[in-house]
Amino acid sequence: MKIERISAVWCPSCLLMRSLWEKIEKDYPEFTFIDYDVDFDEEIVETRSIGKILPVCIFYKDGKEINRIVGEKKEKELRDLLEEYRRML
Amino acid sequence: MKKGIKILCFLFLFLWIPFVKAEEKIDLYLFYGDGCPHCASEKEFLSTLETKYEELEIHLYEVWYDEENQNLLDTVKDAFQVTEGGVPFTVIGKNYFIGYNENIGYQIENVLKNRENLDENVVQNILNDPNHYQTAPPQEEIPTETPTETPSKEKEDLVKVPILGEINPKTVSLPLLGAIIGFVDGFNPCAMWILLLLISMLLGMKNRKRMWILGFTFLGTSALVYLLFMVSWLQVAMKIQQIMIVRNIIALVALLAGGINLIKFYKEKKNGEGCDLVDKKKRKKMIQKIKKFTTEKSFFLAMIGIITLAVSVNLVELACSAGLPLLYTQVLAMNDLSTASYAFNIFLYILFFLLDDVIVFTIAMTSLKMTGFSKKYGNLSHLIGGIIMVILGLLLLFKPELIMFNF
Repeated sequence: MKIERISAVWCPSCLLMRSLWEKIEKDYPEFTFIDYDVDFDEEIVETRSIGKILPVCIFYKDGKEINRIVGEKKEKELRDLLEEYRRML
Repeated sequence: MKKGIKILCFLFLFLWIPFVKAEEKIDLYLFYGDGCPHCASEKEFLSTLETKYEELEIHLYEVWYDEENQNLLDTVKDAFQVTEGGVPFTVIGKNYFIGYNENIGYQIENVLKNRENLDENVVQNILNDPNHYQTAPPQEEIPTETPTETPSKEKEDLVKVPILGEINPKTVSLPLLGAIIGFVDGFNPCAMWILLLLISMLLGMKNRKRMWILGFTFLGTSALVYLLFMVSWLQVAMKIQQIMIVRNIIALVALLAGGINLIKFYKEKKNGEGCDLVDKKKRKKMIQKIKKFTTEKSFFLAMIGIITLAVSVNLVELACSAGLPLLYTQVLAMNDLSTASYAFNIFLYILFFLLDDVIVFTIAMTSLKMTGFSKKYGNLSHLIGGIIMVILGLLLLFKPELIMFNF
């Protein structure tokens, strides 16, 4: 399963979420995490139709998007979601 | 016979003295503005004095709508060498009082009771000859001592606050308001994204000393732009604050800006917390600008670049957050303060405005890692800022005396 995280260096919410992801991602080695920056990975980000709020997190299963979350989230919310997807693997 | 004449003379004097005393009128000149709440309070107070002191004669001069009276007030102030503005301005003999509160009321009555410095009628002298005091101003003889009862009156105003001890709400209200509004203004997300973008690029530099200098130059220049804006507006506000319509327009702008902030808070609360994606063109332009001076070899040119960037950014961003500094400066203008007090209050506002930026920058520079405050604080700033704007707007419209803290 692949998880794409789209953020920006100038976005405080992205910075907060980045440190949160850093804390929890080591507990989920079965997932592949990929980071994109809206300014420095412009071409890829443009194909994701991210809307007007950052950060955006897109979940893919078998190459297909199954979910996306937008904005700041709490650690429990992220963990619950990852646990749910872990069971699907 | 001689004894009889003496007795008659004595009786005559005895009867005549009080008669003369009663005849000696005391002229009190009140320069006031129509619609000025403190002037209205003083007028009320003076009407009670009028019944108490028969010899008191009150002369009223409206100065906001009457140019001639305003000119007379200017001449009187020149004679006293008073540079501070504002009404009410009261003159009795050689005594003058700026503003009105209970303490000033007490001092006015004290002058009437003790007939202090009434040997010269300054206003009447000016009315007779406007150039009367051009060479010899009377201000040296004016008593400026505080009445003996004042300390106990001031004592009554003191409020006990844990840790801080006894404080006078009148003296701390303006700095406290400045600190709160400045702090809330600092969380305005308009300028934060540029600071974070700058920090991210500064972190890529190898020279740490240069990183610190460039970063603080950006913050210092931002503070300077704010300072210039607030000082300029203060000058304008002090000149036009007497015009009711201007104050009402500012009040309406505050209500509108407050409403917009509250709507923003509601919308962001509904949509969830996250950053608004800044316009692509704007982002690209900013990245190019910052890249230019972070890669610039000449330190001098890099400094010029960052100063120019900070000035242009803050001028544009002021439009986004001008509501709060504008409103606070207006409140300052309505309070007749000394130049040092104005400077102190503006300095305090800017200090708190920059506090969150300085914290974010210092943490990033020392840990070489970027940090950011949750967007919920930015959103909270919309709520608190909105509420402050609405309250101040309503006070400006209906109860301006409540924000004249120093009277």
